[in-house]
Amino acid sequence: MFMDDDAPQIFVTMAPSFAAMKGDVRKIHFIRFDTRTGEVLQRSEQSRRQGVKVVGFAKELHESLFAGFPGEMFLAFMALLFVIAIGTGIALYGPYTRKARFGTVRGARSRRTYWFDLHNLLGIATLAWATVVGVTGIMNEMSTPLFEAWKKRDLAAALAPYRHHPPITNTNLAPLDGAVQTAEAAMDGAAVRRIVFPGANNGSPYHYLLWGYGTKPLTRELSNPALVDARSGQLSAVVPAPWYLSALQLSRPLHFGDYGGLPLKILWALLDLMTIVVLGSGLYLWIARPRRERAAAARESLHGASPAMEPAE
Amino acid sequence: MTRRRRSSFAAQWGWPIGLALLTLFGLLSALIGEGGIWWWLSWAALAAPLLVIAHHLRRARKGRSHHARARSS
Repeated sequence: MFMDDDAPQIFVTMAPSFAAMKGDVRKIHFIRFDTRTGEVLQRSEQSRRQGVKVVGFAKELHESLFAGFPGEMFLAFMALLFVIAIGTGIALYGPYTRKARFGTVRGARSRRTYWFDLHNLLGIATLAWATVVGVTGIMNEMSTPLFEAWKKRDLAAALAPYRHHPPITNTNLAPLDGAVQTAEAAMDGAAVRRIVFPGANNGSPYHYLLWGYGTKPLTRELSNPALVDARSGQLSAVVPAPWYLSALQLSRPLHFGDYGGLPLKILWALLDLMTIVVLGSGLYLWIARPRRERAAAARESLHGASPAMEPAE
Repeated sequence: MTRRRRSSFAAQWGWPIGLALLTLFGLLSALIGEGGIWWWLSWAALAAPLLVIAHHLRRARKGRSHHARARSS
């Protein structure tokens, strides 16, 4: 169950059983409620019937190329190449622009010169933004293995004393309200916004797992989980999120650009367009590279000799 | 000699470093200082690289001779 902090809505996710969910993720069912009226806003089967929407399609393509976990790893690698490309771009910017004034875009000389200058200007002006989005993109793509690591180490350690306890049934659960209060009290007034019920995925078979979010501007993005025994309602443990989960949580807003109102989103889109031009012009400059560079590359591959770098103009 | 080299470093890297610092400030100011003045500062800081790009593109389109003169001086 997830309570949105940005909009009056609450998501409740369900499955017939843990085994059924593991066997077929389409068995997972969710309902989105309006927290003001209790009205049902969306159901999973209804959104499935409506087919894939543009945003959903783009999101899936952007996150995993419709290839699940391997797709995520592939895109993480692509993001790494993106960051390396920025790094090498900075290294090349030095020698290639030593003589020119900052921002000079020569149009008269040739089409390639124009795009060369544009590539340099747009690339160097947006480099910090592109680096941040690239690095946080890698982090986001790594979320599956990072959560697995956390489950295997921290969560498993916290659950070790429960290894031989009998599984919990739905009839003997402690009240949820009390669990929320217990967790919030144990986490210095953090606000519980995500609750993983006993037996659900990424949770514990014996506990309510309650994610407490900070209430200060920066800590609002950071959350720590508390385990409350679902039978007794007693606090078992607060399992502070390790540094890599905190980094993952902070990298979300810095990748999405959704934390500064509509103007920030518009700026985000414009900076994105600039980056697309940098990538496109980079490709063009490589395709339309001068014959002597191509000849040098051919020589190099034949003889293994590296030709001296020639600064452009 | 060293002074000349330092000033040429500033000439070449002053703008890139300045824009990078402004960008980082803009990214963090909306994240850390929520709402109000911090959002406005964030928007202004993140608009800076875009405005610099727009300025130089306009300049290139308007007077190509301007940069040619600037380069030779």
